[in-house]
Amino acid sequence: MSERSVNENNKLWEAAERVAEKVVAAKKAESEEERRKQKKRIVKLVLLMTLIALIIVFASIAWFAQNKAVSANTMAVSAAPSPFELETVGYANNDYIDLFNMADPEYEEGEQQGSTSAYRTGTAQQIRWRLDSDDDDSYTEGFRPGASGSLTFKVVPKGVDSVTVNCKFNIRAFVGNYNDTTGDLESIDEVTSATTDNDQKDACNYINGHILFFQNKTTVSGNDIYSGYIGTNGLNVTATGGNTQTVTVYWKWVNTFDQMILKSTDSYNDYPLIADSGGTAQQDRDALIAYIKANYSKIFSGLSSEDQTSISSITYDNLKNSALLGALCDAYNAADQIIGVNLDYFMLELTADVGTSSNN
Amino acid sequence: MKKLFERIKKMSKRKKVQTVIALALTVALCFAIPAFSWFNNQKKIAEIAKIKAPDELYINAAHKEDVINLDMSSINVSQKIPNTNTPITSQSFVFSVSGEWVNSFTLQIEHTTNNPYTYTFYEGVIYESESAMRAAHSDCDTRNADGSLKYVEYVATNVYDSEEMSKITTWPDDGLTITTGQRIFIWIGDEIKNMKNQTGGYLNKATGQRYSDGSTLTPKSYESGTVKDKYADPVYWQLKNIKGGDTKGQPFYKTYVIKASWTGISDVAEDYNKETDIFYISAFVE
Repeated sequence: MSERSVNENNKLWEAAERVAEKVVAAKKAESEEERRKQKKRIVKLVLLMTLIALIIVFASIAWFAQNKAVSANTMAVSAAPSPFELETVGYANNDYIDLFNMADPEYEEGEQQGSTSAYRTGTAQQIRWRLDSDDDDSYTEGFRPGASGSLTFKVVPKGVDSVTVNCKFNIRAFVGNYNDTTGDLESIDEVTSATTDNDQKDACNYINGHILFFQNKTTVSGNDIYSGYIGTNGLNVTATGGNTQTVTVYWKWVNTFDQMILKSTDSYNDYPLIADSGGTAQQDRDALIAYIKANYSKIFSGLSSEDQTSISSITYDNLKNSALLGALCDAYNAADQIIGVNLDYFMLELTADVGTSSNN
Repeated sequence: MKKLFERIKKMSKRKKVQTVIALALTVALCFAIPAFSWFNNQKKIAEIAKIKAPDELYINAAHKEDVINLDMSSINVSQKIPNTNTPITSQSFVFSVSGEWVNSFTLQIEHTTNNPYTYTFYEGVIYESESAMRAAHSDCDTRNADGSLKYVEYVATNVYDSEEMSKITTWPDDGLTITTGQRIFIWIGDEIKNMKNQTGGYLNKATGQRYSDGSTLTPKSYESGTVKDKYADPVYWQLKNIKGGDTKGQPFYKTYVIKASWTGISDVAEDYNKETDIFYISAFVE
C-alpha cells in the first residue's frame, strides 16, 4: 500500500508539472503576441504622424500657391506672398547680363513694369540692379580706389500696410578666367572661404572693408561730402501706408585712409569725405572711427602688432597728427593694392529683410 | 518611457531604420514651412562691375631703361641715304612697356599735330649685338621704301628708374647681357597687333587727315569744347587688348618702335624747325 501510494504520488507530481509547464508556455505565447501588437501600434502611430505632417505641409503650400501659376520646382519658394518687392529703374546691357550669368545666374531680370525701364522682383527672390548714367560715371574706366557711385532702388509694399525693411550691403568678389590667346573672359570664379589663394581671400575682405555707404551726398566747392553713414547694421527703410519708398544710397571706395577721418582744416587732409562740422558730421566721424576699430583687419594690410594695438584707442584728436596716421595710410594703400592685383570683378549686393536692425 | 526604450530595443533592425527615416522626414518637413516663409521675406538686388587693376605699367626707353633716354626731340628731316641723294623720310624711336603681369593692356598715344608727321607703331625685337641681329635676319642691308633701315640702333645706358625697378624685383630672364655703352639693335617688326589680331587706329582723326576731327574728343580735351588752333587739338591713337606678360604672375616688358614719317617737307625743313609737338605715350589696364 505504501509503495503504491509513493508511485502514484510521483505520477501525480509529474502530471502536475506538465500542466504547469503548459500553462507557463501558453502565458509566454500570449505576452509575445501582446508585444508584437504593441510594436505594430507604434509603427502605425509614427506613420500616421508622418501622414498628418505631410498633409499639413501640402495643404500650406497649396494655399500659398493657389493664386499663382508657377512651376512645381519653384512654387514653394517664390510663389508665397511677400509683404514687399524691390524695384530698380534703368538699363542693363548684354555685357552686364553676361557678367551676372557667369557670376551668379540666380539673379534674374525681374518683372518689367509695363513698357517702362522699371523692373520689380515679382516672383523672383533676387534681381539684377539696373543702372543709370549716374551709377557708373565715376568708374567708366573700371572700379578703383576713389570710385564712387549712387544706387537707387524702391521698396514697394504689396498691400496697404506700412512695411519696414532692413537693407544690408555686401560685396562679393570674383576672379576672371581669360583665354590665353584671345584675352576674352571665359568664366568667373567667386572668392569664398573655400578659395585656396589667401591673397584673393584677403582682397575680398579688404574690398568689403574699403567701400563705405552713405545716405546723402552734397557737393561743396567741387568736392563730394557725404553724410548719414550706413554701418554694418544696414539701413532701415519704411514704406508707409502702402506707398512706394524710393531710396538712394551713395557708396564710396575711399581713395586714401585719411579721407575717412580728417577735416579740411587738418594739415594732412586730402579731400575729406565728411564735413568738418554740422549736420551728422560728428556722429558720422565717430561711427567711422568705431567701424575702423572693430574692423581694422578688413581695412589695413601689414600693420605691425603695435599699430594694431594702438588702433583700439584711436580718436579723431589723437590720430590727426600722429605717426600712426601715416602707418595706417600706408597699410590702407597696401590693402588697395592687394584688391587691385588679385580681384577682377565685384558684386555689390543689397539684401532686404522685413524688420529693422538696431543702431541705425 | 522605460517601456518605450525597451520596445525600441526589441525592434528589428529594419523597423528601426524605417522609424528613424519616418521621424527625420517629419522633423524636416516641420522645419521646411518656416524656412520657406523666411526666404520669402528676403529680397536681393545686386550690381556687378569690373575692378581696375592698379597701373603698375611703365613706359620706358629701349631695354626697359629710364624713359629719360627716350629722346624724340630731334627729327632730322634732311637725312639722305649715305653716298646718295635719296632722302630718308622717316625716323624711328624705341620705347618699351614694362610692369607687373597683366593679362592685357591698352596702349594709347596722344599727340598734337603741329608737325605734319604720320606716326606708325611697330613691335620691336632687341638684339644685343649687330651680329646677333644679322644671324636672325638676312635682309639687314635692304632699306625700306622710305629709305630707312629695318632696325634702330640704341646705346644702352643701364640707367633704370629706381622707383619702378624697386617695385619689380624679379624680371624674367630675357637672355640678353647688355653692358653700359653697348650698342644694341632693335629690329622693327610688324605693326602692333592685339590678341584679336587687330591694329590700332586714331579715335578722333580720319585716315589721311592730319589733324583732329574737332568734335569726337575735343570737348574732353578742352572744357569749353572749342579750340582755336586745330593743330593744338590732340589726336588719340589707341589699341586695346594687347597681350601682356607671357607667364602669368611674372613681370614683363615689351619693346615697341614709333616711326615718324613725312612726305615732301625735306626741302622746307626750316619751316618746321620751330614747331613743337607734345607726345604722350600711356599704357594702362582696362
